[in-house]
Amino acid sequence: MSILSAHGPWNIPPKHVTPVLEYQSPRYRRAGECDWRATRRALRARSVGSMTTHHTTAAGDIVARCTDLTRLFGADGATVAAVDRITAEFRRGELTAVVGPSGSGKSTLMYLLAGLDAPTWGEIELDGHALAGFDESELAELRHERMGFIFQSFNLLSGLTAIENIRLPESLGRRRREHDALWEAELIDRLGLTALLERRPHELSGGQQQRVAIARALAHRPAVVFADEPTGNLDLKTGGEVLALLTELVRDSGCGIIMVTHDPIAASSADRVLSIRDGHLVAELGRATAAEISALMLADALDARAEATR
Amino acid sequence: MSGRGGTIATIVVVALSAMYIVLLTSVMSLLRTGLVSTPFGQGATADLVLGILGTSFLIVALIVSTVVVTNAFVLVTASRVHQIALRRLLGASASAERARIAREGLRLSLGASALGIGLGAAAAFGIFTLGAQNEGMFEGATAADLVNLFVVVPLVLLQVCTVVAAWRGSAAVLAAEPVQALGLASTQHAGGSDDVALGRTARIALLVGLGLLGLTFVAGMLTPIAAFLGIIAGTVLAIGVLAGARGLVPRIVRVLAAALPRRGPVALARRTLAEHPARTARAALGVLIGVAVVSMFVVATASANLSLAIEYRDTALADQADEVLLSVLGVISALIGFVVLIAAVGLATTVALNTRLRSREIAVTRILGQSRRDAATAIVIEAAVLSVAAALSGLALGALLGWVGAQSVLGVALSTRIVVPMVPAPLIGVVLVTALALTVISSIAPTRFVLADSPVRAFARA
Repeated sequence: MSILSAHGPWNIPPKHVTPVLEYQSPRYRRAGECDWRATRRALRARSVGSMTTHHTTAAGDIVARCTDLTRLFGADGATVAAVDRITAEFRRGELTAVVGPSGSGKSTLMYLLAGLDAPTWGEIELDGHALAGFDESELAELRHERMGFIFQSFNLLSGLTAIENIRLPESLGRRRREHDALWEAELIDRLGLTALLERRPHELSGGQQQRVAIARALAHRPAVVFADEPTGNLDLKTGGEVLALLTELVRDSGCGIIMVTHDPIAASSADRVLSIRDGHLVAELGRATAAEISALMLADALDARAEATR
Repeated sequence: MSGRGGTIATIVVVALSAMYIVLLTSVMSLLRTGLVSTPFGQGATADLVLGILGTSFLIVALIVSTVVVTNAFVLVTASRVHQIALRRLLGASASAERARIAREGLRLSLGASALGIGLGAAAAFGIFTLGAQNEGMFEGATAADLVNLFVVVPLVLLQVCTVVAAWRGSAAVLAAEPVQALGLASTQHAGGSDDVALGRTARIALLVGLGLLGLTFVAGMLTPIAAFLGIIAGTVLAIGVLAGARGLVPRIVRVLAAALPRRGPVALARRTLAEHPARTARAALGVLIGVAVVSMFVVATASANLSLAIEYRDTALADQADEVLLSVLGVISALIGFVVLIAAVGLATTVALNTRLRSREIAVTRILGQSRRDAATAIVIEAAVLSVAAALSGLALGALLGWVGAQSVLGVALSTRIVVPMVPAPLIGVVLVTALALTVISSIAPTRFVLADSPVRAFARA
């Protein structure tokens, strides 16, 4: 039994808990700011082990990697590990689905990998860069150059047209980003956006908005694309179409996609499925059908309930 | 950055306005008594001029505080949209919710007014004591002259204006759909268009205001009563500017923004300004009016001064005219400081509101790779462009009103019948520096908020 069950249910979404153990990159860490030893002791006392993924691919193909990744939230005495010693690798040209129930830590894992949140400890390597040595603006630069983002609620800027939204990231960074006009044209064509470029988001359907968001995420040929429930706001048919386009484009652009979802149907289009519960990596599947993923998620949920009532 | 910010802004503005009203009426009645002992105080004209000045000051202060309080209540309502949606989901009607906010406005207004009246009375007594000791400026006046029963009228009007402002500012309640409480509704709102047509009210008010202003100018050659026409013209014009701000301000801003670079945080600031004309206009209005008022009185005084200097060139009265005008100008600038202060509160609340309403957009751009510094820079530049645009249009409007105002009062007294317009160069400098200083001060809180916030948290909250 973990030390955490004594302090309330696991399913507290970490967003509602104040983080006390703010991670500081080494160059900004000040002495006495947090008690690392106490935290380590707390972690060592935990009996639940983490599961590591099986590595087979050559290192050159790896676009993102995390080792022993841990993120604690909460006040002292009642810490909750949103992500608990997860080690995983993500490869080029591969769509990895991260599945798990609400509050399982999958979103936190994604934020950590994208450098949007800092781990309590553990290492993250993204496109060959160790994130630990990066300060805030360098992380922003890395997101700008090497990452793409797709959101559940699309998050296009309402005042900009489709094409302005697609080109928005170009204007965000300090350094001028290579504008690959050929690739942009190909994306627009393949995503079926040619006739919609001058429209504003409120003049587009959900599926169309998400296709614009995909173009925005892929236009600069990022190494990794993070997709947070990309089909969550779409109907089944549209969601299926959007995912099909996304998987096809991943293969052709050679980036890796990390997709967080709790939809087994969406996860079934992934090359690999990581199942997360209570911050732990509990299972890993290769290509799987929606039925297999559903079964896995159901088993996890039942396990979790059994653990909670024990 | 929250509803509390809006409430505090309301209290500060109403208290300042009440203080201003008390101070103004007291000082005006002192001046009237004092002026009788100078050669200028012999005729009815000087008395009339003071009455007109006092009335127009009061009107301007009421207009500015109404605009600022409206903005403050927009902020209050915006920060409570979720609570309001929840209450509406549970059965409250939109009008009941708005009435709640209006009642809250009245409560705040009464409390803040009491505070302001106390402060104003104390300040007026202080000024009387100082003035009586040093300059002999209020010669013949007694402390009893401080009390002017007329003060009740603007004070009651202030309460009415605050309640109206609270009601108008709470219009967003109507947009708070009960379903928002369920968290199901998409947070994306329909995008604004670049061009908002000038409303009919605004266009008519602007045209009528300009027409009346022209009439005032001509009438000023014949009688000082033209000043009353001038007050009406100015009020109608102000209504036109207020009503048409959504259409006018973004156009002015666009012209200024066209000169900015098209890359980096500046480009983003430029886009967001064009994107939300209503927000842009709200943010600019306080500064526009404040600067217009300052410019109006400075230009009026400078023009009057210049014309009088020409008129009385060869008489012994020249020096004395100068002296009286200067002392009046001194009192006026002190009083106008209040209006600028009120406008500053307005700018601060609107910049806070803008940042709050855009927090999701800011979070998205930061996730997409914008650095903290650039996100903050974008806000500061946005506010700077806004206030420079507002300050320049305020200066132009104020100079026009000031010149015509001086003409309406003094035209008849001059042999040429026309007051020479005079915009002192330092005024332009002071206006620009003030606008920039206000921008920086009012952007501090929102940019610090952005700098301290993690984009993920902002994203989850929005």
